[in-house]
Order: sequence, then structure tokens, then C-alpha cells
Amino acid sequence: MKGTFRYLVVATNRVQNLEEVLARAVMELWGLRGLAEVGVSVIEVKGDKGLAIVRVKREGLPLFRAAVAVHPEPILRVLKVTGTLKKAREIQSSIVNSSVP
Amino acid sequence: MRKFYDLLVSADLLTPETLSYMRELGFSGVGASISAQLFLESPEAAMKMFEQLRERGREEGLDVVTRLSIDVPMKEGLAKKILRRWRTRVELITVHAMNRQLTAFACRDTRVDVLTLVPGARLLKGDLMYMKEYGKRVELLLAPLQEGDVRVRASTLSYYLAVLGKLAKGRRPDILLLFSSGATEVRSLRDARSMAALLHTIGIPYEYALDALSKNALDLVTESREKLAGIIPVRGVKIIGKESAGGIR
Repeated sequence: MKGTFRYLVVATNRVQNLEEVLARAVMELWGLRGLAEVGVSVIEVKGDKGLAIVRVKREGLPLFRAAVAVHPEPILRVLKVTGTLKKAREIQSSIVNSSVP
Repeated sequence: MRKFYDLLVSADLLTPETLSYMRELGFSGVGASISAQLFLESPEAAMKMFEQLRERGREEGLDVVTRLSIDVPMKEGLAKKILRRWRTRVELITVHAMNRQLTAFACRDTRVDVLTLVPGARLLKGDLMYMKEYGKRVELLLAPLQEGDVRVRASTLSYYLAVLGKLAKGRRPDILLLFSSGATEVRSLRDARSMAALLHTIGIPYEYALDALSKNALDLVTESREKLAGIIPVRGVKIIGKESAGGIR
């Protein structure tokens, strides 16, 4: 069954293994069931700009954001949430620089 | 458009870089918190720090709210002394629920604006009644959910679930909520909507969760500033058009 997704343009300084780190963060707060609800995947990473596009299921967006918020380390900063990948890419290419401590 | 406020960030943390980062996180204002301990030891230094932070805030385009936090256990008499001296000079005075006596005092004293809940603090029916009557805010913090090992964080989350169950139960809370970072280091800061998402996932409707970071905080700050400016001379009385017309309508 085809689901509805949200695409998050995020600033991050963890360009390597980002998907793994995000999956762990979601697992830590919501467990395996939560991970299934969120369905997190990293679509693309622009290491030079410190930006990435992350895809999550629409219903799982609050769970994802909550998991990132309570994680002890700041993994990423959500810059924009869009409904289409095309729009997310447009936003990503328009951002000059970003920062995460 | 919503204006987000993070009302509890340690004043020591608020360097120009942090203020700039907070703007990037989407905040319009920040509560610069100084502990009551510093006000007791060196009040001039505390007031000077507030002045500097206001100036920095203006430069960065961020509204800096001055906040005195009674965050150490103390006797009621000392807390009253602090309130008498600083109530008219600081925008927000808040009390951390460090022990039962301090919690009960904070709930019934009208000079206290916010009760900050620390994990494990008990709230009794009478406390809630006073808070509702005096329009006080209850504040939850994000930082305790990020600190310590998994078991400590889980017990904090469990406490928040219980408190929100008492205050809200999936509807608009009877007592207005605030949700702040409580950050003492930059890595504890998060964007406002992620914080609201967390509150939402533990039992508050999303709109009300957003209010806890925006409307409730902004209303409190506005009200407090009006009190300090004499626009609200006593509870329940507001002088309309005081600055412009200079008269009472």
C-alpha cells in the first residue's frame, strides 16, 4: 500500500550514517513499533552544505520530531517540511549555509 | 504568524552566537534566567548581566525577557524577601518545585508567575486550585528528558505523562502550560516545533502544544511588562491607553 510522506529539509553535521543515527534515535524513544510508524529514510545528503533531505511517513512526523528533540545530542535541525520531494530539493538548493552546534 | 519564546535558558549561555542560533531555531524571544542565588550574593552583577543581555538581544533581533529563578531550596521567608525586593525590577519570577513547602508557597503567592516542575515534584489538588485562580503557568522542561541514562530519562517522561494526565487529559489544559528548554548548554536547544511535537506525542493536542511555546509565553510576558509599566496596577484592573492618552477609560 502506498503511503503519504513528508520530506524534511534538515541541517546536520552528521553526514555519515545519518539514517542509522536517526533510526536509533527513534528506536530509543518509540521502539520498533515507533520506527515502523515513522518509516524514516534519508533521501539525499549534501555534505558540503551540511544539508539533507529526510523522508518520514506523514503520521510519523510528530514522533520523529519528538525523538530528535529528546535525543541528548543535536542530530539535526529541521529547516522546512514539505509534501513533495521536488519542493524539498528546491528549498535545499536555495539554502546557502546552515548550522548545528 | 506565531512568535515562539523559550522562556528558560541560562543567562550564562546567552552569548551573541547562541542568540543568533536561537533565531535560526525559530524563536522570537528568550527568557534569560538568573538564579536567585546570584541575586542574593551579587545583585548588581545580576542586573548588569540583564542589561547586557537586553542589548545583545536588540542587536540580534531577539526579545530578551529578564527572569529570576528561585531554583534552590530555601525557606519561605527568604523567598518572600527576594520577591519583595525584585518583583518590580524583573519581568518574570519563577519558582522551581524543589520541595513541598516551596511548591505550595509558589502556588499561593500572586507575585510568582510560573511554577517550574522538576521531575518528582508533587502537585496537590489545592495547588492546582490556587494556580487556576491566580492564572499562573506551569512549566515543563525539555532538558531533563535529555540528561542522564535511559532509566532516568524514562522516569522523567513517566512523570511528565502523569502531570499532563492530571492537567490536560487530551484536551486544553485548565492551567496554562509552558514548555521551555531549560538549557544550560547549547546542545540542549531544539527548534520550537520539535519541542511542540514532543508535547503533542505525550498527550497535548498539537495547537495547544504550540501555544505552550508561543501564545501562553507571550501573554505572560506582555502581562508582566504591563504590570511593571503600571498599566495593570492591581490584578483585574487595566488602564487602557495610559501611554497615549494618559487617562483612565
